[in-house]
Amino acid sequence: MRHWRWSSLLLALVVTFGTATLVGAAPARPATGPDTVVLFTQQEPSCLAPQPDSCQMFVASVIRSLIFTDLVGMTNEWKYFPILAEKIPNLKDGDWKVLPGDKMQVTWRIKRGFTWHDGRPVTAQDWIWAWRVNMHPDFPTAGRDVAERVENILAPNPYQMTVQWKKKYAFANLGAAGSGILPKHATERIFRQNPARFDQAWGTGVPTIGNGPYVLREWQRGSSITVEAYPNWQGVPPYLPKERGVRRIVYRFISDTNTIIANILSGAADAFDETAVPFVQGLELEARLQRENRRDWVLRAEPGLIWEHIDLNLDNVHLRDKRVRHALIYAINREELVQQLFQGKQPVSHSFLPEKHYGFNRNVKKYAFDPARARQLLAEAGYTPGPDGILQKGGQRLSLRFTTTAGNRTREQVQQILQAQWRAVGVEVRIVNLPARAYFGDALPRRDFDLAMYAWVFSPTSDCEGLYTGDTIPTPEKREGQNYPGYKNDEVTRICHAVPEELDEGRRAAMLRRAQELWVEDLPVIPLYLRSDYTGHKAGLQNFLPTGADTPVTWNAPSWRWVR
Amino acid sequence: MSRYLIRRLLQMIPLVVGLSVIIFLLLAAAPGDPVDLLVFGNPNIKPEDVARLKRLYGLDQPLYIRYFKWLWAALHGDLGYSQVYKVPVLALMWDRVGNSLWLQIPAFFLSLAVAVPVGIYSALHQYSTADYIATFLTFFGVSIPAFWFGIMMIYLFAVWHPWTALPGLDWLRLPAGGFSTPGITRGLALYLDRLRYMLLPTLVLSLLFMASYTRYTRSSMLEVIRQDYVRTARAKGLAEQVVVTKHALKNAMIPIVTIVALSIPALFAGAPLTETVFGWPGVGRLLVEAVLAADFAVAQGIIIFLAALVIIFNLLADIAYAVLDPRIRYD
Repeated sequence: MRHWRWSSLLLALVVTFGTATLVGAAPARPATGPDTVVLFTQQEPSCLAPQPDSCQMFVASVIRSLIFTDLVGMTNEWKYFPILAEKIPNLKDGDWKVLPGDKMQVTWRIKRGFTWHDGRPVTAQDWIWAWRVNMHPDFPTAGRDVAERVENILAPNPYQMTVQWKKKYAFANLGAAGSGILPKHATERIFRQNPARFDQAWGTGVPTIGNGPYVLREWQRGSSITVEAYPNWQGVPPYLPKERGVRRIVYRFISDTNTIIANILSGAADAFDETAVPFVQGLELEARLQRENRRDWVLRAEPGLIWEHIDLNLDNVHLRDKRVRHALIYAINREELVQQLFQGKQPVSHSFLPEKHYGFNRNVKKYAFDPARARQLLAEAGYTPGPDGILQKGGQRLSLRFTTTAGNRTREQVQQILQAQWRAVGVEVRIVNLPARAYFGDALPRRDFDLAMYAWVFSPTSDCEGLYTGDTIPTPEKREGQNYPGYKNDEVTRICHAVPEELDEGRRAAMLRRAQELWVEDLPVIPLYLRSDYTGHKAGLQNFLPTGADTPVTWNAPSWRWVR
Repeated sequence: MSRYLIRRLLQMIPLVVGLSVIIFLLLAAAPGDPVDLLVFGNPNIKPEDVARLKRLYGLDQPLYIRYFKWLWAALHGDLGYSQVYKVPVLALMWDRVGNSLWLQIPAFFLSLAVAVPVGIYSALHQYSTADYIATFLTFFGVSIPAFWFGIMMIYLFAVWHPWTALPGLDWLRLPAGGFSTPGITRGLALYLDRLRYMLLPTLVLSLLFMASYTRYTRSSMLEVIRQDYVRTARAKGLAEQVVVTKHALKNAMIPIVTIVALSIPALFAGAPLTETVFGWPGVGRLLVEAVLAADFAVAQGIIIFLAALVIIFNLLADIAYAVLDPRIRYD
């Protein structure tokens, strides 16, 4: 009898666990309901004010794009489309004109019928107001790069505005003045009370009056933000019919990535954005889902605009010699590195621009792994092996200090692989890493490194001005500019300054291609790879289309839907 | 006693001010401020904008002026603004301390309710099987890292949860982190929902607390029951229950009260690892995030608040000592 009891218990456990495994393998239905998507992300935005540079975190832009909308949007294929504008101005139609003295004038016609979430109409005054706020000396915004190029904005009527530009600017038809849009009627009084605290007084909670497809309904600090469909939305993309579309989006903030993965596996998450799961954990998650034959999740690794590279300090006595720089890149096997560490899902880069960029040079010189060529170049440069096998020249060992952010496991792995490969050709590399704050706040601006590995975040309209122009090299005394390698090539400097003022995209692309040719030959930087970001969603959720750019995955949220 | 109290209270003032100076200097010595970090994320930012932002945030002023401005504002109840969250530090802390207490208070009482009886039983039955089990479990509780234990609990109750296939046990499939279900904002549903989210982190925290309280109780009780007066009480023929509760337990509780009093500030400090693993928006997680994001005003506010609590509860522990043990006199 006793034996029978134990056997039944065992059998019950086996059945339970077996059934549970099957049940647990298929949580494909929406976490909370067929009109809701629960999206997980790692960070919480600080504020949701629509000025792009006052609330800078990426996640802020993702959620902001649900609540606010502007003149022009961008698809996942990097195509621009008008949202609040009737059309995108262009030179051919004459709504974008070059005036004498290289000034410009861009005329925008605004669609009628768009309203703020309190029912007031969206008019030209709202853009003019946003620009004035952004330009106020006490408003703590980090970015006025575009706004400062604007001389004035005129509004002959509420649905038309003319932006007058001080000088030529290539991307003048992608927005009014780079300052976003603000509801003048709802924010003017708050701003005038204390301009310096405006970003702390508005856009930090509910009610935040937006003009986008979703209304901010609830913000539980440290936990979640909930937005609900704005019934009067008339924008692009339009809402799917009421019975099929997603009417509510819940953004949940969990800082620990293991916990996010547990939520994905348990079915509590419907989707996750680019910031939720680090790449390496995304790889592991994908492998696990495949291993368990789970088809309830769709994961994508999309190469993005984050570019990992190694700056070479051109003030260093060894690195000043171009042959040494070339030898360094020939000595490392970048293809094998991305295969070993990232299963090839983070592609090797060959230039400072990503492949999807309009100005990317496909024919740029590519340095393949060739240690024999590296040794030959170093010998030509006058280096001979020392007693310990490390090359030396004029009594100086070829020993370089390689820095990056301490605690970043991926970068530290890359460092170790590269260190070994460089050692094989006689170059000694000493790893000296620093915490991110000390690294970005102090070491890089002082150019205190020989080799510095980190990433730049680009946008689809980025160019080389500020990064590789000879007049933007910071010094210990004057930390201005971000040309950390100290690269100076007069032709590159000229091109990089000219690109933002060239209005013709074809000519602009040609200039960028030339700059890349020169840059790759001079090699002030070793391009490593483009970082990919993982996004994912339950298989039943349709139209979830990450952009791989700085445009958020929520760009087309009104057309998301659940398959029944 | 009252003179002692006044003296201790007066001593607290320079102590807190001194601490605030040290904390201010330590945070200021760390390279990079919020504006530096902002600059790094924006290749287009101009030097004049950097200077303007530093002026707006007061970061261009000498350290001592910044400190005195901060101190003056703090004395008026203003701990500054969070550069990351764009809200006053006090408001931010208030919410987060509240959230931490949602976890810490149940964990604290649950752990005391289990640890004290187990510790006493373990001491009274030293080297018994129950004592060995209790000792092993406390050793386990003290040794395991909170984040590992937390992840195991999440895996077991949120991801795997095989028992939920059995009828009536579906409620044991628990949320894998977070604070509450968005949309549930009031009434009984809110409390029941919060309870589900609290279960796992509270369990993890209370097991960690429990381990150390059990150890203290056991060793304190062991020490007391070997004293002469306990032997005398037994020799006088008193019942074992009376000997244990009236003679031994009262004295054994003195060091435990001290340990408990000194743990109370930690309740307000939250549990950085547990809160991070469970995505709980408590003060511990806030402190970690503030330090990483160079959000000095928040980090400073929290650390000084906690330092003040430690000092206050030290004083309370000393007073409790004198109340419980008449041999102790403060002059």
